[in-house]
This record gives sequence, structure tokens and C-alpha cells, in this order.
Amino acid sequence: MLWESHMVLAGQEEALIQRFLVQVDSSYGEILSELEKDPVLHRIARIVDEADVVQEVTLEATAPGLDLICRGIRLISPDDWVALERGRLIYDALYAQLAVE
Amino acid sequence: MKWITRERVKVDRVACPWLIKKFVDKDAEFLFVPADQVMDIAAREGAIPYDVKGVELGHHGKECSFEAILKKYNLANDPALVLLGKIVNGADTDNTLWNQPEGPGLEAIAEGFRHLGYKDDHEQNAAEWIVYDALYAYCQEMVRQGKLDGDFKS
Repeated sequence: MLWESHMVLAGQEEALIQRFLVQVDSSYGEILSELEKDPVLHRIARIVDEADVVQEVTLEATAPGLDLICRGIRLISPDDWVALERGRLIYDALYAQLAVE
Repeated sequence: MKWITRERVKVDRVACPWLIKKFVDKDAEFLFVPADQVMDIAAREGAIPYDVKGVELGHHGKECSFEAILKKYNLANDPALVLLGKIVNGADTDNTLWNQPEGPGLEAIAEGFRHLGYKDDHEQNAAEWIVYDALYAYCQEMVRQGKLDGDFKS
């Protein structure tokens, strides 16, 4: 998810970041088409979008909580890879809950 | 000590064991049993009941069990734990006491952990404590920035 990309990119060389962004752009279309097939992923994308960007109006009530847990995970993780692994568990839980809903 | 509560944990019954183990009793042993057997087994095992109706470490008014533990064990002088308590309250109750915007997200994630296939409440607690480690780190950071109600509450 793009949400995670900040952690991966933090502190990287500019050239690496550019290369990564090009890769992300080229696969983003594929990701979007996958999202269309899975309503839960579509919903998570909306929540992540809200959590990732400061908004005047919160439409997804779960966004602030997700935001703070992910920020906290960054604070307690020794590196981005550990943070990604832990973050994945959080998204698994969110996905599981939204799928039940 | 042994600490006992109802099985099929969600918010308070994950947050409280985390709090107890980290700040109250590092040798804590946790029991999760059917709701109607908590008090009998507590008496038999000499365990401290929490997050059960009618006990000291339970809900009082609109305050949740996590907040009762903060008060009982003099932890309310840590503003980061107090903020964490408000967020836990927001996820565990109707969130009308503190109106913490982070409550619904924590509730959704806590509910989600129940569907990740852990074999029992012990396993779920062990996996989910990382959420509360993260929350606490966030709350400490907010306190450092002087935002005692967090980043979202206006």
C-alpha cells in the first residue's frame, strides 16, 4: 500500500526513491483494478486515504485510530521492515473486521 | 498474582492484561473463563477479577476497567497512560465520555483480531499487545508535544 511506502522511502537516496515511485505508478493501475473486485479492499483504501491525509471532515470513523496505531508502530519498530511486518498484522485485523461487517 | 476475566476478549480485556503485565505485576498470570464462572474461579484460585460486572476493577459510570486499574494502582500520574485510557474507553464503550476520535479505529482493529484465527484468548492477547505498545508510544509522543488529548481531538 502507498501508506506503507513512506516508511520504506524514509532516509533513502533520491535516485532510489524516484525508481521506486516509477514502479509504484506502473503497478498502481493493477492495484486499482484489484480494488474494484474486492469491496473490503476498496473500503480499506478509503480509510487509508483518510488516515494518510489531514482532512477537515472524517467520513471513515476508523481512520484516526488506524493512523495513530501505525504512527505508534513506527515509533516502536527498530527498522522499516519490522514496522511493515507489524503493520501488516494491523491491516489483517482491519480487513477481517470489515469483511465480517 | 493470578488475574481473571471473561473469555472471548475484545478491547478492555486485551488492554487491561497489557497494562497489568507492563505496569502492575510483571509475573501476572491470566485466566479467561466463561462469564458466569469468573467469580467462583476467582475465589477458588485466589485470582483478582477485572472487567467483570460489580468488581472494583470494572466499569464505573462511563469509565472502563482500564481506567479503574489506572486509579487503583496509582498509574494516573502518567499522562500517556491516561490518554491511552481515554482511547481504550472510546473503543470499549459508546465513546460519549471522552469522545476520542481514535476510539472507532481501535475498536475495529480489536474486533478484527478476534477473526484472525488465534486458538485462544492467551494467543490473541500475545499477538495483539503490539497494538497497545504502539498506542502507548504514540501517547507518550503526544504528551511530549503537549497534546494531552492526542492529535485528533479538537
